[in-house]
Amino acid sequence: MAQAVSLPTSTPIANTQVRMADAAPGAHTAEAVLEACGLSVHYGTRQVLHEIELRIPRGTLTALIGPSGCGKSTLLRCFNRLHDVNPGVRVEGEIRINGYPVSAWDPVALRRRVGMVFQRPNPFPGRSVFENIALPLRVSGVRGKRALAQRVEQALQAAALWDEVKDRLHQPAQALSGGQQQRLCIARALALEPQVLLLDEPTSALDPVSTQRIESLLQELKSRCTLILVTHHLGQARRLAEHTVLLDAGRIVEQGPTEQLFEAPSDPRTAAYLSRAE
Amino acid sequence: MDFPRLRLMRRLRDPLGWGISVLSTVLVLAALASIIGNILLRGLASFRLSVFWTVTHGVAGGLENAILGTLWLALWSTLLSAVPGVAAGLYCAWLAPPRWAGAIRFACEVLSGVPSIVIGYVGYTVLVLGFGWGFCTLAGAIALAAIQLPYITRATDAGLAQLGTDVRDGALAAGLTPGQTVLRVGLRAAAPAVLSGTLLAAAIAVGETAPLLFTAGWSPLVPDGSLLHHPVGYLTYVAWSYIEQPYPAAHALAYNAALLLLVLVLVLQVAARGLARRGLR
Ligand SMILES: Nc1ncnc2c1ncn2[C@@H]1O[C@H](COP(=O)(O)OP(=O)(O)OP(=O)(O)O)[C@@H](O)[C@H]1O
Ligand SMILES: [Mg+2]
Repeated sequence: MAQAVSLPTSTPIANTQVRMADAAPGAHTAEAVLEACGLSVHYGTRQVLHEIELRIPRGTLTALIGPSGCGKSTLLRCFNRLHDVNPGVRVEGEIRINGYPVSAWDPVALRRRVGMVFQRPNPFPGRSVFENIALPLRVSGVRGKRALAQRVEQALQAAALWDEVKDRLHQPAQALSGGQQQRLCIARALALEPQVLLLDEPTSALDPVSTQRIESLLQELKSRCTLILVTHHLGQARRLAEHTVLLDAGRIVEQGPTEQLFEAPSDPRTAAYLSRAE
Repeated sequence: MDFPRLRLMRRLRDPLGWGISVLSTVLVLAALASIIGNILLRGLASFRLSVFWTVTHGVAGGLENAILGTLWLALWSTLLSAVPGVAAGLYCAWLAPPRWAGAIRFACEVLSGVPSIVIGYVGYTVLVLGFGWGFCTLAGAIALAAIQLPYITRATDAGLAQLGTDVRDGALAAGLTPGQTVLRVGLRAAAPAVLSGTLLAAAIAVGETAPLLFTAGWSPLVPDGSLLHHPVGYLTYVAWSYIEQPYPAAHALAYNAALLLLVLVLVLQVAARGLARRGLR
């Protein structure tokens, strides 16, 4: 790790990719897979994130909580450089994954390693269940009918959706229920075997049963990748997260092991937020 | 705050507003019904199937040259406008920085506000005279394309806007390049809206006269497939100019042409609506 960090930022991208692929997914070590250093984000002239310092350990689930509008989604979108498409957004500071700055990456290659699930299910309209997962695989270079079918099935299995859709793979994805669509979106992200999975309030648009399903799914996914979960549901954070980060008005108020943050918060603002939110 | 007075005004204004809107609706519908009824009556009364396989002769004859010319012009104008129109709409909705998107939308508004006779005149000076193409299919098709372009761009833009940026972000986050995001996710999903907009634009083009008078000219011959230097006939010319002739045969032909135009536009509109409705499901 230390060696990796000391490399110049101009590390050839191909080289970086090899290193990223080297890191065994799910290796449970305490080292940080994801770090943010002095991260600030401006929308136009308005600053919404201030000097964020963050370390997210490998193979864990980190919950990102905080009041509405505090910048959780904004922070999440820094990790896969989704702000790149919006020229009005300025991102300063550095984010490193496995010690390598994401700014040195080709954004498309980065996003294949850092998957994302959104608040509202967003399957590709007009495409079938199968195509929704096969399309990202195909454009990332997976060839051959059988290889594709196999990867699609694996992804749907991993997202606990296979049994429900195996007979309707070629029907429109939008005919699925909301909860199924969301699991399809999780499958779509998992199909690329990401090292990091970003989840932006993935259950906020779902009923309790679907929520329960996705929670147990996330529990299992910890063995495959590192998860960052934005949630407004404190119970969900307590059930799922090893680490919790509380954000307020674009600044980190407190971060630490979930139990400690909830039971014995060291910052009075944390206690205030927790009591207000519960 | 004078509430009683406000209430009185509202009580008076409501029936007044209602009255005006009902009256104008009735007027518009009556005008439309009289036009369509007139065309149907007179067009059907004199209709002969032979107009499909005879060309115009002086002030009489058939409409074969005009029917084929209209289709030939519409084909080229649609080809010429659909590609840049769809590309501009896709770029505008999902990729362009807000300033560029605004500029494109403004340009569309301006273009669709230009009177079609002005487009025809520009086509005449630049293409017919300037480039020395003479009256020809390509000059006519380009003039029509300028009319169709903003409709297609707007339909594409609106079709993608309806999907929302969530879908775009989902595609980008799944490792698609911006180009793949727009073409393989956006265009695919917005295809019904795009096709319906393209057909509506074609229906508008088919009904244009002014820009073609200056660019396509007129020809009593069946189009020979050439794009340059040969004028071409079209239905709106017959409907527009033969009605002025003092001969009953010319009138009959004008009404026949109007009837065929009506049917053609109706077919395009119905197809467009059908597609748009399929897209909503
Ligand atoms: N595209 C944008 N342009 C300008 N301002 C934005 C944009 N997106 C978000 N903001 C602002 O940035 C701040 C942080 O937004 P963000 O979406 O990150 O909050 P959040 O913590 O995810 O909120 P929520 O819990 O409601 O989803 C908000 O004040 C919001 O108004
Ligand atoms: Mg948010």
